[in-house]
Amino acid sequence: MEQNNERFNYLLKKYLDKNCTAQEFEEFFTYVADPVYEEILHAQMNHNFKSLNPGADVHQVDWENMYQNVIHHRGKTKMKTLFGKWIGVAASIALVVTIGGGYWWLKTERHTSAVMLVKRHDVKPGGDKAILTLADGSKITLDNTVKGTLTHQGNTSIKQDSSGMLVYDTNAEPRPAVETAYTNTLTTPAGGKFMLVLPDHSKVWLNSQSSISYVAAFRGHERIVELKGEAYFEISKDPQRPFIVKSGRGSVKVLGTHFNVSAYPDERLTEVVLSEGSVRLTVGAEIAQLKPGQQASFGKHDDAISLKEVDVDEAVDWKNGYFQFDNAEIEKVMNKLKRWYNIDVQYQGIKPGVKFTGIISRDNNLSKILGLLETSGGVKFQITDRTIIVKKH
Amino acid sequence: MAEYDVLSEKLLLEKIAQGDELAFRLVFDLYKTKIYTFIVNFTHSRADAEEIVQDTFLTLWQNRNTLHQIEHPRNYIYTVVRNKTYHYLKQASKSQARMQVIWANLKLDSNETEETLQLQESKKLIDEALSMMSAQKQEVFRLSRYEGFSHEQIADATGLSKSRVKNIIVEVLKFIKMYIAQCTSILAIISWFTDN
Repeated sequence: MEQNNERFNYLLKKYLDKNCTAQEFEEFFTYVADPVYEEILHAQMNHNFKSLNPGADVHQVDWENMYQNVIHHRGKTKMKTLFGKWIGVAASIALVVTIGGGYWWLKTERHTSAVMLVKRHDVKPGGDKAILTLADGSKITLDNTVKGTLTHQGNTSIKQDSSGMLVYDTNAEPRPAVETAYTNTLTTPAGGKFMLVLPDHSKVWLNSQSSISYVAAFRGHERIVELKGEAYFEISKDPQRPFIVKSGRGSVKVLGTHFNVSAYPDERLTEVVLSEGSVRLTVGAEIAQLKPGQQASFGKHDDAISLKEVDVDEAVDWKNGYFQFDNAEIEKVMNKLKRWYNIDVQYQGIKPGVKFTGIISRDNNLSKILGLLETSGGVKFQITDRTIIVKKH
Repeated sequence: MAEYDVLSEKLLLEKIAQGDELAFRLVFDLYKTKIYTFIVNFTHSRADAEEIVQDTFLTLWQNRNTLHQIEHPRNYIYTVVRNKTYHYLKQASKSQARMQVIWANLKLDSNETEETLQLQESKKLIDEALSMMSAQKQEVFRLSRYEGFSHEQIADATGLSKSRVKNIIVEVLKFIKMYIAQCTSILAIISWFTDN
């Protein structure tokens, strides 16, 4: 095609002014597609930028949200595809028809499934619930209503602050020569979660059906905690005292960093996902050093550690209040639901092979989530009492 | 934006290269509206413009250690924006679906209030229209229309800004309306042809 800059400029102007006809619109884009016009398009864009004035609509944009996304490296807003089934469908193009200036491709061969929301008995989501066991064995039940100082362990006072977090406050006084170790354990039931601030200011988010044990005041050259279940850690930096999370046969050593440990007794594998910083995982005789974005997993019967790159957001979805799945198998999905909703799961017949992708808030009732999962096709749920029966569809 | 002061902007970029967040915030505030308007001019989509602006600043921030000794900060920043916008147009030129979405934004009256979509409208047609949009826009729409999420709830669940959620819904509705209108007239003509 012979270069026709005049025509291109004319079309561009019409496009920018929003008063082109459908034919002109289509024609404009044929020029855009042609690399020969790249330079002139660039030139026009430069000109536009130099002479423009910001429009009034700029005030409606949520700039603060955008800035936070940028500064926290939240990249291409990861919108996972949905549970429903509108997309990813092959379409064959049947006709092109021009009507009064509009060009439209008529698509046939649609395959859409209706979005079905099945109403059923509802199960409420979990909430802030935990039990704190003190060194002497006494227990305190925690939820988000009790506030203020709860008790003391030696020189450490244990408080629940206004946001509901459990906070360990060691006095600034120098540690006594002989110090009693007060071991405390925080335990969450199914459907519970809790947040804890350890005596060294490290933060721990405890997921459902989990427990973490630690001393009320860290002593010695290491800060040690023991975990069963799942927790997310933000460890405060202290190069003199490495922080160690012990879980089953594994031991995660960190200096100051953010990571997630998932070690449920009813799961085959223990998984450690690193968000920021650096950790060293030791399992028996095996050692692995993790980088951010990596997940290490190991089983119960041997020391082998396997490493892979993962989506950290998906691994830590629970901490932010969501369920997030990325091509997840039904078992993985049901295990997450099981713990948060405190229900049992049974599989009837062949296990559905369908995989799930999506994000949904944990604040939803169970029916909503199951309804959504069903729209993916390939699975059907039935609730009786507190048991979900999963069937292949 | 006040007069372009090359020297002070060069200094800001130097500071950003060293990781100075405050300097970055200043540059963000200096350029955001102009960049946004530029992209809206060329894409006719406020929702997509937001995405590209965010993308631009993300690129700048992630590559901040290359910002030493930029002679012309404004040109540099503009070039990043321009390339992303050009890429957007280029991608659209290869896809009928994308072009149609831009067409709908361009042609229909831009009113701020959400248009109502008659429920009687053929679900089949609505689904067809939706399948031509990006997965992200479909999801936002689904959460709004079928889950009954408020804009705020959708923003929370997806990490998108409220303004972007709102613009996406407005744009999707516009597109669906246009698509249905066009398909209906096409079908009318086809049946006329077959009947005669």
